[in-house]
Amino acid sequence: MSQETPDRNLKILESLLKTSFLLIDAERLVKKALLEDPIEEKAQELEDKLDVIAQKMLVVNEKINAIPAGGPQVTPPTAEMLEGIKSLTDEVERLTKTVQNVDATIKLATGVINLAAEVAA
Amino acid sequence: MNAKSNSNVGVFLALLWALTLYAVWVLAEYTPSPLGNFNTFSTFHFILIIFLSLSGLLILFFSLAIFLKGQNLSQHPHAFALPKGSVRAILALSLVFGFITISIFFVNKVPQLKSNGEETIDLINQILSVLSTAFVTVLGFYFGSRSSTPIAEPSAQEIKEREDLKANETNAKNKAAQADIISMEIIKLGHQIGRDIASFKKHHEESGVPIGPTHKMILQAAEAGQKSIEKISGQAIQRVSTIKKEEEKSPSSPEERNKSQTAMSEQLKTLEDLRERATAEAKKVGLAIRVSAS
Repeated sequence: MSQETPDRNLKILESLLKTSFLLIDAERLVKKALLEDPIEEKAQELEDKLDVIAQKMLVVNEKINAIPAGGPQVTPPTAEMLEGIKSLTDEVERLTKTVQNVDATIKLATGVINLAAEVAA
Repeated sequence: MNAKSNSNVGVFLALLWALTLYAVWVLAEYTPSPLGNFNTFSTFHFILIIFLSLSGLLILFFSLAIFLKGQNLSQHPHAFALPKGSVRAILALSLVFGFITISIFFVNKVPQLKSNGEETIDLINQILSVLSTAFVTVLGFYFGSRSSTPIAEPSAQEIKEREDLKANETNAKNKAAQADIISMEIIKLGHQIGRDIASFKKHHEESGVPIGPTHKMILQAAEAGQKSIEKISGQAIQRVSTIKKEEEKSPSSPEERNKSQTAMSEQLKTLEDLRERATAEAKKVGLAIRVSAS
């Protein structure tokens, strides 16, 4: 970025970047959960989450790339969104350190997908 | 010599031993006339000593077997977990000892036997001749069979044991090699990120554009990723070290081999997870640097 971004754009960029990081972690954890040989129903659910995560990554990255061209058409993150990012980042950390739990992973992936939808809206 | 011929020799030696003892006992008990004043008490004493010696030997073997079972060596392919041929050697030496003992016994009795007349001496000569021939045959068979079959044909159990050991060794080597590859991949990712961040900083220094809050935020995110990968690399090196230690072990029992293989598989799985984490961190840093370049 060759020019200094305004404060609004900085907040948007930071939240988009952190959301993108969360999507990367969610993708990793879902793939890991799939390796644990879950039951067919859960495996399908995890596969679906992977597809949605990939779509959200594209959307978020498009928004990030649009910032230098004058700012993406997104609203700055609310306090709730920032809290959501923090809480989900902590959950990623927790799930990374503990034994893989398929239900917890699905719940986290759902949370990250919802957050990505809000942040990139 | 295979297991069947081993057991044949054992049976043959045991029968010969029993026959010898029986002959001495019959001689002492039922032939008082030719032996005259032959001291029957010392004869029974002699037989008793032989039996007690044999019993002592058996007790020693059983104690050894119990001790070895306690040491988890009961899977040893040879009797009493002793080196191959030990039992045969002990039996052969016992026969030598028995022959010498009987000979000494008769030599000590020569003055008494002479007083009984030539018939007694002839009888003892005949017994000793038969016994010496039998002992020479047994020893000849023992040493002859050892020299003619220097490499014994392995039993099915020995073959399986060797195959298991070889398979275990190969698995351990493969896992250690896989661990090396994964840890190298993680370290390479770390180096790549380090180079990217250094390049990012250098670019800004050369451009003369001061690092503003956006770049600062991106740099922080990238450096957090770098730190994370450094931590992951450290963990990966520890796992590799654990796998190498397992590889160096030579578990003797199948249970220990399974345990070692399971431990290595778990460490390898953790390493694979660490690689995934490192890849995710590299993606994040890559994304941050790409954003900064745009």
